Amino acid sequence: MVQIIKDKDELKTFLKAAGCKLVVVEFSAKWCGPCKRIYPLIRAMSLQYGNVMFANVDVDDSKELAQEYHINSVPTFQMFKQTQKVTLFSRLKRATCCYGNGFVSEPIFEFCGADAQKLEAKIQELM
Amino acid sequence: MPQTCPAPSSYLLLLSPTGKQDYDLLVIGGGSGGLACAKEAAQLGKKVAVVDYVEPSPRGTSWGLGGTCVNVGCIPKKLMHQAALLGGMIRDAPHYGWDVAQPVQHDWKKMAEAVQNHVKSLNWGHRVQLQDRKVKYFNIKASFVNEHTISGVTKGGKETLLSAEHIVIATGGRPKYPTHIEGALEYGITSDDIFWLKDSPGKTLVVGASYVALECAGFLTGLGLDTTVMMRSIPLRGFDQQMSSLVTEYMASQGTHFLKHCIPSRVQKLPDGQLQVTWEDLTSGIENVGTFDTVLWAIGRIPETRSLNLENAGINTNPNSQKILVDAQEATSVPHIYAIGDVAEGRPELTPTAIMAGKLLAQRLCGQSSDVMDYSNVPTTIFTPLEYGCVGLSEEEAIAHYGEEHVEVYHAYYKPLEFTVAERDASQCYIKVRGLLQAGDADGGHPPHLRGGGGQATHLQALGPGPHSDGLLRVGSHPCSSRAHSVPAAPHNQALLRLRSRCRKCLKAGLTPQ
Repeated sequence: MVQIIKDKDELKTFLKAAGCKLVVVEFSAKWCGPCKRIYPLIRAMSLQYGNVMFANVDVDDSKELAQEYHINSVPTFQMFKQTQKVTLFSRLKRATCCYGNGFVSEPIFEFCGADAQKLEAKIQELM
Repeated sequence: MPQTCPAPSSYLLLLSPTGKQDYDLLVIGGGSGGLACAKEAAQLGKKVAVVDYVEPSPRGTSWGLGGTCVNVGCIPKKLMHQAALLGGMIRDAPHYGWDVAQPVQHDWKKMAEAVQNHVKSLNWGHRVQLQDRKVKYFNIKASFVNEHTISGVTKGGKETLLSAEHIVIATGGRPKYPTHIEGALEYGITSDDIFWLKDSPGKTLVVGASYVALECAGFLTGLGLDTTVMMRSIPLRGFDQQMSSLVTEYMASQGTHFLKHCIPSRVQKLPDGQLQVTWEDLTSGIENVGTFDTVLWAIGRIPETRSLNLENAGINTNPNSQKILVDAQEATSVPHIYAIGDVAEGRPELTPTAIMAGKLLAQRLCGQSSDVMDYSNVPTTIFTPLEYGCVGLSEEEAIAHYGEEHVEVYHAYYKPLEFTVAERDASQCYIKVRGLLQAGDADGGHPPHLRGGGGQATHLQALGPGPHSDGLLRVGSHPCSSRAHSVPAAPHNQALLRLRSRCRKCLKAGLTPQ
């Protein structure tokens, strides 16, 4: 399923809950034709890839969030993944769970455009 | 929303103990002129803010950033005009070999959604642009507190104060309602609403003779809707009247009904939801009644100055038009406050001129230029079913200004190539150029020296210098379904050669063929 994210706090919570899973956040708009076309494909992917988290931000409903991530075209996909800081502590913890020193809210990858194939390929690469 | 106006002095102390303002430039109005000015000034390094607010129409329609052109003017108008033209092309298609089943139905809902989505994408695009150019944007309703300060109120009633060294007013205008007509406000809509209707307007009465009225009636007819235009007197006042009648004649041939010399007196709602309009036929004095689904008022526009509290800043307006008085530099009666676009007195109500004026103003304010906007000879096009492009003086203006004996008119009826195969009626396709006759050598066989009168028409700049040696012979006015192709596009000069002289005195020499 695709989680609707309204603001920065909700995004933070979502990213934290994702743990070390890949997170795909789509920035879309109701008036955007390509966004409408790719929506069913995103939904399908969210059901298919159980270890990837999917979310959606509407750029009109969540103006500040869209502005913060410098969205200037729709759809834009931003992918997040908790980075592991290589320290003694994390080496010990690696076997159990990837619990970093705090997640990073910078996307590791971004691309624009409703290209479902490209999106899926990237997800498979990063997940 | 309460509008409070505390004493200016208290605010001065609050805001600028050192005399420093919040912004270098504050633009009131995020439309064509305002945005262009703001973006240009920001690019030139100024600290700029734009405040934009849309008071919902009486019907409740509202929209986003971008102003009239983007939301309830040029853009949606042109798209719906295009939708209507496509209907005509579909009808032409079989002549060209296409296997298209006739008649084809139009779905207003689908068109409206597509148009509205495009407009929303433009609203967003403008917001992103402002962010990129580091222009601060506030969605607040502004009014003047004093010369350097405005009070802005959000939709929720929250008030902010903003101060600036320079202020540009670009609040544009809104459609007028004939409030003296019973039922006009409650039951009628305007151009503010027509483009945002989710459902088809159905059988529509358009009241007015402006280009807004004719353009709307034109596309409504083209989409297959029963449309009537009610006019008090002449169509397109201020435009060349011969051309205006060709425009309305074409519309009539396409199915638009015209009620000429009629004025509405009352609008009532019937039990089934339809509207009953009562009007007086001025020629016969007889009262008539008609039933419509929608009544669209297109009787003129008024500047958006009423709630600005201009008097708090000492800004003068024209008491009749209520537009803001400006000089050639776009400055108001207050030196550091300017006004551009539809809100300013004496300016053409056009987007490209507002944009240009805004950019030039920004450049002047930043000391980058001393150029002022040239508002003369601005080409414009009316997007009625048969489009009418014109520039320069109308025939009436030319005669009034120079005297009939000095105005030379060249004209021609023509058939656009696209009309041939499709067997379209080209009776109203016409081109007219006016030139100024100079006293010359009457018996020396010199061709008349044409000067002034016309300029470049919107889509005929390709014409270039015509057959005349002074190179100034360009198109004056023409109604045509054109744009890039069509009309004297291809055989440019030959088309002009076919022009016959409809002159006031007999000239020995004609045009020199090339």
